[in-house]
Amino acid sequence: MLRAAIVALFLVAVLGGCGPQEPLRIGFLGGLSGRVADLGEAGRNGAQLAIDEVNRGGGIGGRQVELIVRDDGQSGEQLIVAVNELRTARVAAIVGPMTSAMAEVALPLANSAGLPLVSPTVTARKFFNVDDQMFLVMSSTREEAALSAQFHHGRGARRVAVAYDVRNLAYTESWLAEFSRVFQEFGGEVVGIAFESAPDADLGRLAERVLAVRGDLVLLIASAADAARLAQKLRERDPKVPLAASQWATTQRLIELGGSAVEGMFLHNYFDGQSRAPAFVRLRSAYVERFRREPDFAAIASYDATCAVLGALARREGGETLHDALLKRGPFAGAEGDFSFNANGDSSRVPRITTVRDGQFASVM
Amino acid sequence: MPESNVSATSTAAIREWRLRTTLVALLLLASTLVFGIIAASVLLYRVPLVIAEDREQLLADADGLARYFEQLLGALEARLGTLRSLPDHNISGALTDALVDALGEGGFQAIYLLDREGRVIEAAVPELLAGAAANLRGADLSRNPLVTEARRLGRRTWSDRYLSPLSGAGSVGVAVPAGQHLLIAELAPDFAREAISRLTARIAYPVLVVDRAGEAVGGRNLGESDRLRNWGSDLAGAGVGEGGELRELRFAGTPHDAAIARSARLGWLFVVTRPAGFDNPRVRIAYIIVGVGMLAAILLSLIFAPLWARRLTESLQALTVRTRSMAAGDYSASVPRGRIAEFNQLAADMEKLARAVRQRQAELERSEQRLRRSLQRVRELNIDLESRVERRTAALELANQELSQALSTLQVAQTELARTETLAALGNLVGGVAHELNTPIGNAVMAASTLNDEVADFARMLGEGVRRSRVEAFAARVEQGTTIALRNLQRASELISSFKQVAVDQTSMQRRDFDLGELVDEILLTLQPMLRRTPFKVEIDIPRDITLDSYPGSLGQILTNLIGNAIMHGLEGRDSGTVRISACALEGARIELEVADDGAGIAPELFDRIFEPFVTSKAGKGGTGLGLHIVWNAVTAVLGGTISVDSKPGQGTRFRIVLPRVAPQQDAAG
Repeated sequence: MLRAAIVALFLVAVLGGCGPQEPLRIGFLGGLSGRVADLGEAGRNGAQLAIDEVNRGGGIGGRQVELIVRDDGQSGEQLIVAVNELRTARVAAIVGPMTSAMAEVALPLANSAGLPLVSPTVTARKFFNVDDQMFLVMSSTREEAALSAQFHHGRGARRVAVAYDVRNLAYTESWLAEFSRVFQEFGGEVVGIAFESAPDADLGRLAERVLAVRGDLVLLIASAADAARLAQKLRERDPKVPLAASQWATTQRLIELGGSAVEGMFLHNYFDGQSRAPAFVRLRSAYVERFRREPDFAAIASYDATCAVLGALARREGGETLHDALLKRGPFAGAEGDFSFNANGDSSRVPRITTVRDGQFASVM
Repeated sequence: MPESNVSATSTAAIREWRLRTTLVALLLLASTLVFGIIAASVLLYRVPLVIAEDREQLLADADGLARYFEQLLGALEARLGTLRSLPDHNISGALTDALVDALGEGGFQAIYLLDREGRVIEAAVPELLAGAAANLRGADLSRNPLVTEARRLGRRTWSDRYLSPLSGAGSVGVAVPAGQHLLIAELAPDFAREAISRLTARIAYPVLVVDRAGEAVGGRNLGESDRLRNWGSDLAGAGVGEGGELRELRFAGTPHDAAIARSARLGWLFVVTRPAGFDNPRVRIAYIIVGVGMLAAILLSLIFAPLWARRLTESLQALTVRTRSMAAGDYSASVPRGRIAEFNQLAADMEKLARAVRQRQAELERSEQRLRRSLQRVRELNIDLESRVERRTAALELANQELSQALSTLQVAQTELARTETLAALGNLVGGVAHELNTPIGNAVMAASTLNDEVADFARMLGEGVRRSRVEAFAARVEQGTTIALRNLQRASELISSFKQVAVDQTSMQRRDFDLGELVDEILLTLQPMLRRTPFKVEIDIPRDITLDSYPGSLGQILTNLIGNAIMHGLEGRDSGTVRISACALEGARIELEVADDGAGIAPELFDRIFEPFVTSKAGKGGTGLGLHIVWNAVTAVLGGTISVDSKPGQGTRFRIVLPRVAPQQDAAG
């Protein structure tokens, strides 16, 4: 007895007390360095905001939630390392990746590990209608591109010059194909011009090539940075050329880098930036206060994706996998309203058309 | 340790410990406790000290880092100073060269000159990205937050993490107004990180530099997650005060003490950390030293305690072996000595004990022999005694028979004596009566004879002639004589009836109602002849109206005997004395009668036996020794009362008789 008490005393003195309950972990995977860092950063911020909200409310089942962030650097090798690290950290799910190119590498890993990937921004068609570990918050490029084709045809465009970035081909090609299909159905003509994104890419020449098509609309399937710089070069040469871009470019960076050159450019936005819905207004002010910038589509989509993961974690029952819970336990509360996944883990939120007016995104329809 | 344990049965409920176990436990406990107390005091004193020192150092490091970094950026800013006047001079080609020269000095990755609309007029970029300069020229940066901020403030402005128009990647930029123009310079991508790395080369723990938006702009020893995350909420409001601030932050999941200093110029936070609590290596080392010391103490105790215990138990074992051989009866061998004084003392005592036991045993054997002999004698005596007892019993029976015979003879004699006594009393009575009657009858005779003479004289004178005066004188004398004679005869008559009553009472067991006072007076009257011969007084103090329904004869006998006793025994040979007879009524229809004298008292040797028959102080001088026995018989058997005596030699004797007013009925009176 006495000896046992001494041993216990000794152990307590040496080892100290036990820590609190192990937190729940959720991974975030996105490009946080290089040219698409805006997307990754916004996605990370949106995820962090959702997790902060849950933790302020006491966590899930009394456990705090921890966000583990990894940078895929837009490189396949780095992504594999990052996914393995997240698996080792035993995350319940990964919010990400943010681009379709990265999703192509990540999905096989996730499928073999049974680890759900809830991507805020991946829209390439090939990921839709497949029952796998990939969950998609946005609708596919098909809907977006079809809407775009319809919209621009309706505004009188008949010949469209499309510049698309081959560095994210999974997305850009899919987008271009869908757009072309619908636009050609309407009787329009599409001329695609591929380019490879790089800081010192000769954007002046690219602009001249695009303008040489003599289309009545220039469509940019490119990142915000490329779209902004390309817009600068295009407007330098033809200040009146109508510009449009896919949702990929709809970030704050487009406006920061594009300045007046992106005024009047038509884009797609996941959400209505002017929404007066209380939940959205609250989220937006929390975001601005915390990160000192306006939330963009990636941030909002990532917030929604993270809310879905947290909701499924909170609601899942017994031995239910998170994959099944994500499919069955919807709808989940998002920034602009509830949403749920279909049997294949896809959503069907069609981005609205937006434009840049006085340095801000404004919804058109 | 030996298996036999003497106390095993008596202490079955108590858990037994071997000596060696006890010693080991004792040593272990002592060393652990002592070391534990020392360790606790060391830790309680040392650990907070270490933590305080570390925090102090952290604050100094954070502040130093912030100040130094500010100076570094200040130096970079200074280089831009010379460029500020360039746009005004508008020397052809000079602008580009100047920007490229400034870039060549290092630190910046790009420098742009913006016109008043925010368009890029000229840009200097690294040679590797020469093509990018063309992309930049003419670009509209008016919506760039750094540009709008610098325009708004109208002074030099450092950005937060800022998106490079050149690379599209995050960077840090500074905007310097140059007249209507604006100079923008971007720090080289690794500048901040490298500068911080250089400054913190010796720091082994996370160092973090965070911009106003909470993004990490640089750091050291950071995990990827910590580098990539936004620190805004963790560091909200931190480092505003002078001299920095301490917070606890988590790095790679473990809590760290973090000192946070703010750079006023940049608005950036410089965070220098050290693992908190047990993860702090100095704290951990303190704990480990204490822990190892504790373990060592326990280990040493575990090694040395059994050795020591064996030494002790060996000595004890030798003693135990000797004790057992002694218990088996071997007192011869000496007890071995060891190194422990108390055990040696015990050995010496054991030897002494053995000697004493041996001696006692010899004595015991001798006394046993004696005892056996005595027993033999006792057995012989026993047989002798039985025959003697038989003989004595027979003799005793014989004596008993003789005694019974003597007793019956004695009882007959006693009865005879009692009768004699009654007769004697009657004799006395008669004597008394005669004596009392003598006087009145004598007087009456004399008066009658005088009267007779007077009558004869008067008859003679009748013949001679009588004068009237002579007749009158004669008549007077005759009257006087008859009066005297009459009075004396009446007195005699009274006496006789009195005596008659007493005699009747005394000789018969007649029961009647009577007054105690009157009875006493009558009794005393009969005793007058005896009393008159003595110089003693009899005082009577009996209230009137004490009446009894009892046996006056017996009561008279009692009083006669007691008064007689007082005169014959108590007051004998004295010149004066008083016999006092008193009575009073008691509760419960009882009376008390007391006869006391102030004489010699009863001799102590007789006192306890005075009511027994034949007890007398006048043995051989005429006392029968039955007087008081008769009194006792009459009081208890006839009158149903009790008698007690109180006497002290020289102070008189007092008999106290308590009687019921109504005596019990006698079965066969007479």
